[in-house]
Amino acid sequence: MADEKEKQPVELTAACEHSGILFASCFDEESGMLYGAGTDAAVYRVDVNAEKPAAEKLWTHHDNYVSSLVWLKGMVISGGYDRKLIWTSAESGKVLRQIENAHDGWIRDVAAFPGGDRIVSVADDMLVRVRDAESGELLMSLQGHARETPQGFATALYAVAVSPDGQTIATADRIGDVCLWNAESGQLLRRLQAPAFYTYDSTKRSRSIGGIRSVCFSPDGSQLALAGIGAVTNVDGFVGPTRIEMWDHESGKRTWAAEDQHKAVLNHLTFHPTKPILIAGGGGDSGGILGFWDKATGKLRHKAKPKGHLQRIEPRADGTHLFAVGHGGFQIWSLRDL
Amino acid sequence: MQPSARILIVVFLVTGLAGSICSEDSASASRVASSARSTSLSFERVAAKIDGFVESHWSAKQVPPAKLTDDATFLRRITLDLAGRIPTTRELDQFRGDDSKDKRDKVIHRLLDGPEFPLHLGSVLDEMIQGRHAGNSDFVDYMRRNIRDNRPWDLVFRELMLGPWDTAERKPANRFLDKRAKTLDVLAVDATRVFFGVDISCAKCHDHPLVADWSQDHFYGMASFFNRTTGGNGKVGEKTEGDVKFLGSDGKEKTAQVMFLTGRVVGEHAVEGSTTDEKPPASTPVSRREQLVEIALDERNFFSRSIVNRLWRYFLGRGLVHPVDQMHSANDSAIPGLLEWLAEDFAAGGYDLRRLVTAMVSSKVYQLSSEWPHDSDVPQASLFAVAGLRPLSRRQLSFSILMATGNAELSEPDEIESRVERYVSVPGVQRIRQYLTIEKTAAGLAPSLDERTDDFQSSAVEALFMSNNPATQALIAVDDGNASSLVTQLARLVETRLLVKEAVRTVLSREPRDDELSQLTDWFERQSSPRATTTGQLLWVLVTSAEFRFNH
Amino acid sequence: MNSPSISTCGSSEHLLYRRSFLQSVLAANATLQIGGLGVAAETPTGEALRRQQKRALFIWLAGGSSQFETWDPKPGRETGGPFRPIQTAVPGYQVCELMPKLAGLMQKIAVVRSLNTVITAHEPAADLISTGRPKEAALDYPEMGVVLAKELASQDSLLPDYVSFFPATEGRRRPATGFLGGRHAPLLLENSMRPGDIDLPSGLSDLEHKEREDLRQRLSSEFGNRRAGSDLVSGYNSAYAKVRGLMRTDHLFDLDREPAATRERYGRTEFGQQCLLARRLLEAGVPMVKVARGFWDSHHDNFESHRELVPDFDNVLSVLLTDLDDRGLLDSTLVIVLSEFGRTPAINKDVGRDHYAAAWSSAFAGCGIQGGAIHGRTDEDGKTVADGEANASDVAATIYTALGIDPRKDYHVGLRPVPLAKEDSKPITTILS
Repeated sequence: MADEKEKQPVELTAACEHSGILFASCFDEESGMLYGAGTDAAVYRVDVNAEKPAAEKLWTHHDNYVSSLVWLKGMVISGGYDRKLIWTSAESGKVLRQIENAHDGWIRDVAAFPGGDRIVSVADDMLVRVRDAESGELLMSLQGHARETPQGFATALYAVAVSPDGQTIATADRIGDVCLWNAESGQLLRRLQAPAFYTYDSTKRSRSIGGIRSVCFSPDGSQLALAGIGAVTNVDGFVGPTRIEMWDHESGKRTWAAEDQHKAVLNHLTFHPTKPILIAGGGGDSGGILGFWDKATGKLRHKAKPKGHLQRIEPRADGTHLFAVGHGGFQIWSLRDL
Repeated sequence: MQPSARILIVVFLVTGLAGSICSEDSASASRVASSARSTSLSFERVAAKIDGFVESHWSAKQVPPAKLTDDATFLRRITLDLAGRIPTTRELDQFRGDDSKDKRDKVIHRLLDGPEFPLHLGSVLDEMIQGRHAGNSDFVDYMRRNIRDNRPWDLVFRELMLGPWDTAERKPANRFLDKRAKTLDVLAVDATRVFFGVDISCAKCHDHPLVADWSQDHFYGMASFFNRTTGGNGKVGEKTEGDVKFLGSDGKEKTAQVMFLTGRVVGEHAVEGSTTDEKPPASTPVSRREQLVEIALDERNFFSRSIVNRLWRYFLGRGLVHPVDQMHSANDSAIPGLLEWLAEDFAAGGYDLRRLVTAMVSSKVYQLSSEWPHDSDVPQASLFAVAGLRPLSRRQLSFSILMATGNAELSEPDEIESRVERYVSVPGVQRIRQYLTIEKTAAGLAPSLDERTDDFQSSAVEALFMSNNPATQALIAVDDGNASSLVTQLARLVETRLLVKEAVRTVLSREPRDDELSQLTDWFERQSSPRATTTGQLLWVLVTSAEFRFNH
Repeated sequence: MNSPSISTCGSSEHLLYRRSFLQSVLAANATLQIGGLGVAAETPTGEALRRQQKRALFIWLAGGSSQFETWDPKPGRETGGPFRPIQTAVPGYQVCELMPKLAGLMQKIAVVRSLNTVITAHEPAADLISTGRPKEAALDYPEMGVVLAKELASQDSLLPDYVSFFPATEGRRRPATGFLGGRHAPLLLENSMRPGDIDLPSGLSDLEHKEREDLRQRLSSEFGNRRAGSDLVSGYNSAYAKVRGLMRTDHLFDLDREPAATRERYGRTEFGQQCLLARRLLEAGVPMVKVARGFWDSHHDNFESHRELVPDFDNVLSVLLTDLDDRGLLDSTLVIVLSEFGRTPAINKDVGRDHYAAAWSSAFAGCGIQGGAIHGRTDEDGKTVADGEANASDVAATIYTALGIDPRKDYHVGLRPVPLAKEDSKPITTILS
């Protein structure tokens, strides 16, 4: 809770309410338009530069939850639980391209290559699929993640990221496995194992919770950060510490792991564009969290209490602001004093 | 410990009762209404009165009673009932060796004056009062102290209902209320059942379908004594306002009158029809629970009959009114007049629990045999013409199993320990320590045993546990590291007859009969297993025999 | 005995009870020794014998499974969640896409979608649902499985009457015997797939074990001879008499005796293994088996949890129903699927669903059940019952009726007659064959 007397390093400057949960967002730096989508399958837009930012409902092209949005050259590329990948013109709102059954399971995450020529998607069919960003042509379909949890239950492939140099793809799943792929050849370069993100309770509840919900490469490409939740004591809920792990993905060695008492799952993490800080947002038993970690040490520098629980965060390229979506809508945060 | 004489200690204490919410100052001295005590009957007279009632009834019904039980069975029965365990062989021998005519009375008083009686009866009362919330060691020890100090039952009731709960010793007393404070129905029904012997739960939605005595007004009347009570987190309080509203069976909402089971209604400021003219000053809030205690003790029949009936059930196997929470006009007491007389005597005599217990166990009806070697049918339980079998409770059984297998130490204090006891003025300290130690070990066995309830039934779960569980088998296994275990000791005996005799004496607390001794010896010699194993087997057979399992 | 019309609680007097109370008062002089073999031990009639060949399987989904993610999907609604519905073998009826196999078997399954049981706290709700009775301060009701075990067991069976599996510690319920007493206490499997205490103690031979039990029994019988309370002694002895029989049921709990293909079909999850064990027990003649699958309480991440739990449930239950059917057992085995409540239509901020008892579902199959019958409806968002409301007592009445047990039949607790099902309960006839 921001103490009005003491100046906080980050501050919520605007919020747009929304019923339901927004899982996905993307930001057009040029126009200052923030897009968001989620449980009602509609895509919304917020002009972050407006004096009183408001959420405008745009189009509804998916039949189920929208899990990710990518901004690419005036298009919004969206992936959803309906297994579709849809390209929509931001200006006209028309569908430019639609791929039904882009995966055989809920699409969980979509990322664009830095060069803008390809996109990669991950889904619960446990496949990593690389496509041409314009034509949507399937270039590679990579299989490397286990198709079941060790206990024989359904698993999920939550997160994907592409390295800044476009050479490496990182994908992460529910049971804490990370695969690193050669982006050109599709060869599996390395597996990283981070089982601390996955809790199977065999004694009390006979089921699991967790997963690596987000992966992100550092700006220099050498490090890979993972985010989720640590050991959960009560798998009925997100009752475990927030957890981030930093890895040197080339050597396959973990650099640090950081947990905080705040009981929540970190749904999305990203690097601050200009400072050596990791930013992650999420929510759980202790409430919502927007946290800022020191990149080198993993020390939690600051913890802010967002409205609701966050699903995704987008920092502005100049590092002055951060946009967040989640349960309850859109939020705009100022990072000026961070 | 043998008292040299039975001395009645009369203590004069003046207490203020009407209209005040605080209770009396001294909690440790046993308080007796002076005039009542000096003219009340001795326990022997009460015992004789009990027998008088019972014998009249038997004559009227033309039921010949069973004979009195033999000495060994009596010793076992009384030790289980007053100390919660079987007798030791030492106690058995002492009793056998006593030729005096009043040897049974001496045992009764030895046990009542000893340190184990409060430990046992305290636990029994904990179970009786707390039901599913029983077993909390603070509350158990609180009840144990009450018995040790022979605090009158009405004082205990007052303390459970009103406090004060200010000292460490008295604080556990709020637990009856505290565990139930959050659910008014449970609080009202449990309190009425436990302290007044009446189950009003059926009268909640409609006038009681089975019992003409109880209407919805009774249910909500009793609930009204409790609806202002707050608690649930260790601290019990009472609000100064609030009434119970309910939907009558005609569907209309009514505000309940604060009404006791007798139909007596309470006004806001005074108990109607009470003998005192004292009214609290207008600014003093009236405590409904205080009003309940006042009425309950004033109209004391329900209160006194409930506890007398429950203790009767404990010792005799069945309440005079059965079931014990079904006291109403259509449910007659088994021996006409007895419960009423006994309860009135109990109340008039200052609610002295020890006196009541002494009277009950000194009566002949308590000491009847359970054998019925006649051709006629066994008389029904409500006649009390023959002792019934009473299953041991989990506590009694687990404790006794440890004793019977030599896994429990109950020894006399040595020279140093005796001196310690005299110095700290707490006789029996060593015995208390030993008892609690055994009780703790026994608690590990207890959950797998069948509990003593009114409708006791044996389950395969207990039978499997006793037959196959490693914990129980360990008790009868030879263990050279455990010199005191009975198996180890017995297995060293060369003479089989002696071995069998000792086994029977230790486990069944009696001498074996000759034919029995021969049968078992023969059986023993026929076994091809190693002697140590067979010894364990024999012990197992005796410990799991029906004779051990029941108080007979 | 004729059952006169029963007035419901809250209106006029209970004529039935007054009458039977008086009857039992008149009969009160008959001995009410209840200890020993069990309450109301009857000699089985022909009909009772036939009934005694019936069985029941209680599948208890502990923690509150989501009706949205199982039997009552709400596609296209805000409350519906991301799973899509699929058609079942019953025209016009859809289930959640997580249950494709059960969808195909729907002609054998009956569903009640209109439960309203009010209580949303785990323990009180579990008590209510599993006994079919609101809690009373003075009367401890037995869990329904205990009642069924008592009704369905044959008197001299060497098999356990009731075996209950509940490995997850959260929400673990031990079927309460209530006023029926210890005789019908279930064999509890909590930490393993075999009952405890059925192994021969180490160091003891089978012969030694038998020898000592024989002697124990002889001594005990002699003791009970010519003594008051001899029925307590015979009850005690009959408990021990079951021991060796129970020890011999060891093989029933040995899954290695099942062909690998069967084990594969049930799957390697714990729930699958237990249901396979349940089938073995039912087949061998154990009349009552309960398999609890815990713990469904998905307050956060509800969809991920149900993605994990429901497909396993779907596979196992469909394999089990098919297996029972193939072996000719389904007609005589009542399969009951229940939770303590359902889950909220509203999806909370942790993408979870909370407790909800105002509108939820249960399912049944087998003995006495009309397969393919879908009873009741909820509104379009699944918030309230729109049609066919039923409560926990109605479910209990339905269960008893399906097995041919009269739900109005009385037990006696002391002098008080206690009908099996609450007096104002109504069996859900739509799902009864």
